[in-house]
Amino acid sequence: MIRNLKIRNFRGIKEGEIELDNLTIILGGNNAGKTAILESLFLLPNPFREVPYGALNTPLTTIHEIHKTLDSSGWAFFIYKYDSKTKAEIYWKSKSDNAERNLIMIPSGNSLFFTTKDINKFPSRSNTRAGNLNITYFGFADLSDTNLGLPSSQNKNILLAPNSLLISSEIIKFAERYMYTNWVTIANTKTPVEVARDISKYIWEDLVNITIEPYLGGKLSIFGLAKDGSRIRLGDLGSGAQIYIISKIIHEMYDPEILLWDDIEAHMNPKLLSRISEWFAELVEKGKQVIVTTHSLEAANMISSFNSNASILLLKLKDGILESKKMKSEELEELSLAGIDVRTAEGILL
Amino acid sequence: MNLYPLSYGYGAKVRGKMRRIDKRIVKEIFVDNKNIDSTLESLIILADGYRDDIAVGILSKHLDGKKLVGLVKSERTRISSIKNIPVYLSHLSKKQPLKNLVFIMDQENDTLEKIHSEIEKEINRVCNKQTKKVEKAERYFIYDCSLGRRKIKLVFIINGVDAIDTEKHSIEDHLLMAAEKLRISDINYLKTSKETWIKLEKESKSEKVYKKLLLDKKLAEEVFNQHFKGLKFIEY
Repeated sequence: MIRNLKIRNFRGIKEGEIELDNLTIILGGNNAGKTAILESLFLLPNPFREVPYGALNTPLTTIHEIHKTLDSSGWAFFIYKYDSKTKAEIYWKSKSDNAERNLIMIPSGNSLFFTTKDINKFPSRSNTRAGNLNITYFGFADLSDTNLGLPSSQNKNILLAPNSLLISSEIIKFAERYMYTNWVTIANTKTPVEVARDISKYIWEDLVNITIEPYLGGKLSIFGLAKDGSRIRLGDLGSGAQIYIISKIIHEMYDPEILLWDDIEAHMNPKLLSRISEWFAELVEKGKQVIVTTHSLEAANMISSFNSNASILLLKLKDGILESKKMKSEELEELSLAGIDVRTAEGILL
Repeated sequence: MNLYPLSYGYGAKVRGKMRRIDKRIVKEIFVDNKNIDSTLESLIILADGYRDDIAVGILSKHLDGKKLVGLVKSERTRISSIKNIPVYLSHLSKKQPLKNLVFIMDQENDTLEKIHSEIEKEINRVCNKQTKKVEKAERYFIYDCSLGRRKIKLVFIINGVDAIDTEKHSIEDHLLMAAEKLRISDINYLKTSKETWIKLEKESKSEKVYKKLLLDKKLAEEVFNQHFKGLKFIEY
């Protein structure tokens, strides 16, 4: 479990430090650094490792997809204000020991080089120079193109931090390809049946299983199999139902130590959100860590109501400086009774 | 005086109400979220009613200093709203301490003596014992309150006008007083001033009163006498 995270010059955050709990709900306005925090946690274990998003098969390509704008490409956006003379740094401490570990991204030429204090963990390393600095790196990404590079593909399998999985409505569709590729394994677990039964409590369709079968023209599709034998394509279910089904399946298969969920309320009916909140509580009971972001007080209250130890982290990002305030749900309720909405009062509360 | 409602939902309601009276006034009296940065000295706590915020909006326009004041609608009503004091002090004063809390509440059918005594009792529960009434007028009074090391002024404004014939005194007493002064119409008083005012609203006569109160500072000061004094205290 990661309990402390320090960020310097990563995306919109020039400087910031936060404390994390087993279940942390991050609240904040738009552009307050919520997604950047989740993305830093998604990168930490290894930016080049395999993640279950089909063509977006690394955290780097996944985050790239989220931020793609017109024809622009490359990872210069990882560096605060795209400044090629600055390095982006992420430091963390785990719950088990007090040692500080890091992931550093250093731009040089047209590349962003990835290094860490624990560089010796990587079987293959290379050297380069950035100005007067000698860098030993385990991988690189282009600043203005989509190329990624590793001295050896073995480097993909190294984990520097507890493995994490990022869920976001913007990337969830890419996991369909992962499900397709790994269908034999998935279908031989209880997960599709459990997820189908689970989702049936929250939608009008009465599903008993998830399948992959031919659709019109013989092309394959993911279906929900209904009790009466009829089938409905996954893409024809509501967005919230699709997100839940896919997230549950890829989570079961990928089995991360840390689940990161961006904008948890997006597309979610409160009933389904309540089920997801319960799921988070189950994960925390199993010793996993869950970190979610939201704009919704209702969502924050609901998620924390299932776990009395949940923390609510209110964020403010001004001139690149990240400030935070950690609260318990009772404090949020007290403030609400007193007429204060923490999302409006962030300028005064922090 | 510039107002900053500390809740999106409530803030939208207040802005909407003021916009219906005068579109321009909204930009004049309300401050945007982006400009808020730990500089709140005073907070107004509305502990009652639906129209109290309109009265506060009107008075903010007339108290034309540039002081920023927070505005909240407490879910704890009347005397119970005093229980919020520790919450305001512990959460809203990180960088610059809050100096004043202004409570606005209805008199209803209580005597002023009863209200004074209940408020004092509740303050003594929340604050340290050395609280002291520093100024007293019947419907406007101030206490010095210490809570731990913190010192704060508590300003109480009680809605109600003796001249208005009603079973329960509320902010609508003041609005009816304005309607009488403006000779808006013959007012047929119902059981409470609130019911009477709602009838005027249905007859579309209330907007005229609000508009006139926005334009006429002297009238607003006369009608919202205790509010004017209380808010002037935090403005200067």
